[in-house]
Amino acid sequence: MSGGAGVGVELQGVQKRFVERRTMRDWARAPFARRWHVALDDVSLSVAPGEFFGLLGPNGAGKSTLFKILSTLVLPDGGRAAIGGYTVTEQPASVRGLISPVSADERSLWWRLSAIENLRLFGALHGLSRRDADRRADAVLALVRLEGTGARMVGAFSSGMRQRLLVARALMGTPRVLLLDEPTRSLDPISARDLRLFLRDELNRRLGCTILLATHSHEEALDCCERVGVLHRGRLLASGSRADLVRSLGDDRYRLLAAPTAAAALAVFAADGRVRAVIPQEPQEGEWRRWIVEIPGGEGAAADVLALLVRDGVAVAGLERLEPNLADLLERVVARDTAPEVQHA
Amino acid sequence: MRKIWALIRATAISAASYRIAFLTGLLSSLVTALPIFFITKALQPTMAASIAGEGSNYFGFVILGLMLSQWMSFGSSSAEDALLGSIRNGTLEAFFATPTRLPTLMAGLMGWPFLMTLLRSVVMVGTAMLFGVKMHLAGVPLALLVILLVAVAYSGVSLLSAALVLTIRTSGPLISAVSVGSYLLGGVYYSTSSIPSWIRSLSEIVPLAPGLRALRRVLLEGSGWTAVSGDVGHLALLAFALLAVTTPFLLLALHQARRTGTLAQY
Repeated sequence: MSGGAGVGVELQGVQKRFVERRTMRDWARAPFARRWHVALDDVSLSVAPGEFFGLLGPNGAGKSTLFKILSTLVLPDGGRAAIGGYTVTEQPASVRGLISPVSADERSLWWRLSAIENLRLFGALHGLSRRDADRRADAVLALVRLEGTGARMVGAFSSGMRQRLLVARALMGTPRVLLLDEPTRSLDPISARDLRLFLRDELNRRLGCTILLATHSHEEALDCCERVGVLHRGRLLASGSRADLVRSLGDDRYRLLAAPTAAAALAVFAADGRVRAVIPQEPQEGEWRRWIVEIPGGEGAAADVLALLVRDGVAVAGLERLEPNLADLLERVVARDTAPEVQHA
Repeated sequence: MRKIWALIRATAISAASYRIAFLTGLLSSLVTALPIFFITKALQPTMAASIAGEGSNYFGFVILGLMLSQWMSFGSSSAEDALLGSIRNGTLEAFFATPTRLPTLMAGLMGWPFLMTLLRSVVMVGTAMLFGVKMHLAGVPLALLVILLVAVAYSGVSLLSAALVLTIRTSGPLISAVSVGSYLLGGVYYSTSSIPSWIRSLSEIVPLAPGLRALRRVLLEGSGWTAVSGDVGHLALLAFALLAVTTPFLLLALHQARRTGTLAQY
């Protein structure tokens, strides 16, 4: 119905910076000086055809700029961005035939028109005949659970309804790549969950549409995406599947249950670098004490630490690897990134 | 064509949803004609000699002047209005992300104002006829060509002002200056033959002047193609030149807006 077999998205060293707006005072002091805001800094990424890829990052990370470049609305300063093999700078018309951006900006709807008229308009702009546009409008309204509201003026819709209508509008063409910029921002949790399931099960898995989802919600990204990328201050800090990220970002944390004498041994291990962090835990369990211990070097290193504790006469009841919380890991990656945000020309 | 029609339809539904504004817009042309009728009637003896070559009825002379100046306003502001309206409404980026070419988008967004200007023109000419002005309706196709050329010529100004707005967020006094200059030199209320000779040559670069001369000869005097071919050719040349000069500015401004990321900012 809506959407076609997905095509891939390629980004190679994409760069974008914008001139920062200066105050009158700055302008008077140095009329020709410019301050640059780096929106994207050497971003390289490959999204396979039919993949559901999540782009995570806080506000101002560069997600929307990246999507605008892919939508041919903003030109990159450097690098190459291509969709289905067509580059956004050389073949923008071909790119626009493949993509459908879904902005969270409800203003981009025609508020004085009914929902069905909005969809008809964009159906026509995607080249559909009136009959095909009507047929598809009915179908996409049902998909986003807005059936029965087609005749209502969009201005009378709730924010959540408008958000769903924006998704419906994006489906009026035959998107091979759907660019979703925070599509659930105005939705209640249940509607947001429904929309995510719809995107994943219907558009991505059933129809094979490639989807790029920009969000600042870990939950949302992990709920539907096969892979995620972490964008911060215009730089792609990490990308991969959940397992890849845990492997590359995981900090090998273990829960140790041992006799109180382990404290002294752990202090020695921390001093010689065998363990990186030792965090005592409450409450105690009878004779036993609990610690969260970070042991770099994988499971072999953990086994060595265990052997050393036993050799030192420490009674150990258990050493259990903690399943890392990806959301926490990603937040830590972003927090670690302290690159300067502003460059001077 | 389907895309253009879809845009016109959407704009029309949206405009008609503001019912009172829509109706008063339609009525204003009718109401405007009434005081003009009485004023021109009083001035008829004074003006008769100077307008002899462009129809001898001063009411008809002024009504056609005002009618064509509406096309001047349409031409000189519609492209800017189409772009700025879409920026203010937040729809521009959504349009630009569809596989629809810029000329098609512009034509579609300018279509409804075009139809409304046409409707107002019909109302004004119809009112003039009701008040006794004899119009040569056989000249309507030629008159439509003249109107179209005037609109196209002035749309060059609109493309330039749209380019300025996209680049520096204001077109300054450009449209006002063009309107005032055209009213002064174009011959809306008086024949260009009455303009002092030292600035009369300037009126030849104002599209309204040859446009009005041709329109009045065709509709008020019943002249045919041979009588107005010089003015129509002159007008076509101005239209071509203005569009050829200003279109690259708009394309450059759009490219610059895409580069600076300010396409949807106002």
